[in-house]
Amino acid sequence: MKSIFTLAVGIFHFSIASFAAPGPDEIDITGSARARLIPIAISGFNGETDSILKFDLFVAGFEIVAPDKAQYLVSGSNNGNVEGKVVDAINRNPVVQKAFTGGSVRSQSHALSDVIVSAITRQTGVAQTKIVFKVEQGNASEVYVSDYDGHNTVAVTRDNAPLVNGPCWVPGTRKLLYASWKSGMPQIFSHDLSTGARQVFARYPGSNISPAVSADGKRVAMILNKEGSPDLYVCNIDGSGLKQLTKTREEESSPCWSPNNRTICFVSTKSGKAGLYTIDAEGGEPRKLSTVRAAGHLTEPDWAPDGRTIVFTAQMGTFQICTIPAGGGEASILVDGEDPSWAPNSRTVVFTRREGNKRVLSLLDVPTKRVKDVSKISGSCSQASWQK
Amino acid sequence: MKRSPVSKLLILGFSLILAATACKKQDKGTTAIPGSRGAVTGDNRNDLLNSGPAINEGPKVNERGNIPLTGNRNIDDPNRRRDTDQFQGSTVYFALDSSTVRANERGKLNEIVSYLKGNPNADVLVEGHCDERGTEGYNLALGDRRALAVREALVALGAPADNLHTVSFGEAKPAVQGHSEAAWSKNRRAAFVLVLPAQ
Repeated sequence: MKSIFTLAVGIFHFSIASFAAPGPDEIDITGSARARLIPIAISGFNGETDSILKFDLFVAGFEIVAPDKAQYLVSGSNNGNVEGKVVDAINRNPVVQKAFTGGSVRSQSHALSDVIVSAITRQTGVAQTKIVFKVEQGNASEVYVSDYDGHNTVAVTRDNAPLVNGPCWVPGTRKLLYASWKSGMPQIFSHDLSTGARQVFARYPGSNISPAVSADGKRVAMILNKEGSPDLYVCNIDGSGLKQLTKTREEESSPCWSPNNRTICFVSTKSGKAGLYTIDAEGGEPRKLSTVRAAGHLTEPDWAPDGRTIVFTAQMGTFQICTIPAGGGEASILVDGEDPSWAPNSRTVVFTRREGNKRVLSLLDVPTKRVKDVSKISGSCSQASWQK
Repeated sequence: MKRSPVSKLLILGFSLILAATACKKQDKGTTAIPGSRGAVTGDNRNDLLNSGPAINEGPKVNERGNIPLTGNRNIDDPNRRRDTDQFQGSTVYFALDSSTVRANERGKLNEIVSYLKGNPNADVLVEGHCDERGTEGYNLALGDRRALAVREALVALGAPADNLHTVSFGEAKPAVQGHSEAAWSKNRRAAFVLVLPAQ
């Protein structure tokens, strides 16, 4: 059922895109107009619902303002169940109205946020999605899952492992892949969140790290060093059919997939500094991506689900979150931070910020460059990956 | 988090299959020489070399100059004894953003080489570490490269490649806490764990 749902959403996205192409107004939605904050006023809610709506809408590119400055007015209540409506502040035309039952107040509030976001921006909201990430506490390193805003945090592992790395989702499922050093050596595990069942996915000699699953859920890219150097490999989702894609003396790292499952973007130090490369997922010559303006080591790429943009970290004095067109080109330098992962809306990014001796997860609205930390989680959090 | 005996067996079975396929791949028996792009086909000298008792043929080096990891020595067997003190004095330090084993660090490796030569049942795990001035993704790769570079240096000094294993911890396990060069210079290192047979 889940995959059918995902497919339906995909089709919906496409229909908007093809509709958007001819008219200049619609082109604006994906262009410069996206960088404009949408002023919105919220009234009638209290407590948890009020703060959730404000958080979700802030991250989605809205600015919470007084009613006389707003373009849209949200009103409603959360006495018992959550209900709300949106009207156009100028002509008072209704935009959308919705009431919710079931679930928690928190989940109803996020559902209302998504209704508001999609009614106004015609883009699917991400308020009901989840992230997976690494948490370090003392000497132990574990995998955690939470709502995208850092609430409802659940420990996936309790291994007391010296290190974990690269947790990621198998798209369209409730399964994870991650590397854990729990045996002393890094091995990749697959982990079913529904049943808690876990299997060794890759246990080749040496290190088995940085798994990334293709969008169709069929193939896995990862970094193995069994041939004496960290190289890029792919295999099937059941672990069979291992194929080595790079054979270098230098180190490859951090693979990610194009949404059409055909290309892998990864990092290599082949030309001295770490740079971004793409390679055909079936094999071939790696191509260096042009990354004009981005300097220093370029690492940790993630390919947007809409296929257009790659987000990555540039080490330019401080760490900077940058984007480039997927074919390479001029980089946009966005904000301080590292290790970005796209949300399914190809607009929001979760990334890591350093704060003293700790690392915290933060959300970035790419068009408006606005940043908001997720809810406080004890320990040092990093390597977040957004559920898709 | 308790696993049933059945799932434990499944995991074990799966691991064995993986280990077996990985080993099969490596035991192809060709000893590629750097730059020579593999052995000449039709030449059966490799077959002769690989049948019968082992000849002192030196480490296997692939055409990129990398020495493959063999991984058939159960380095992560929890029953084996791990000693982090034995080679503490041999810890190798690196320059910023470099995986080159500097000439003045190489002397520290002789103790390990002679130990391994005299103790064929022992293994050494080389741990690669970094300072905090890189992304976690970059540092994990750099730590890997540092550990591999030290392994290669040990092999060049005559240590048996099959008894040398590597692991990277990136920046996750600093030797010294702090955000200054004093701390960073101690954290850019390769440390050694002596792994002895199970008792």
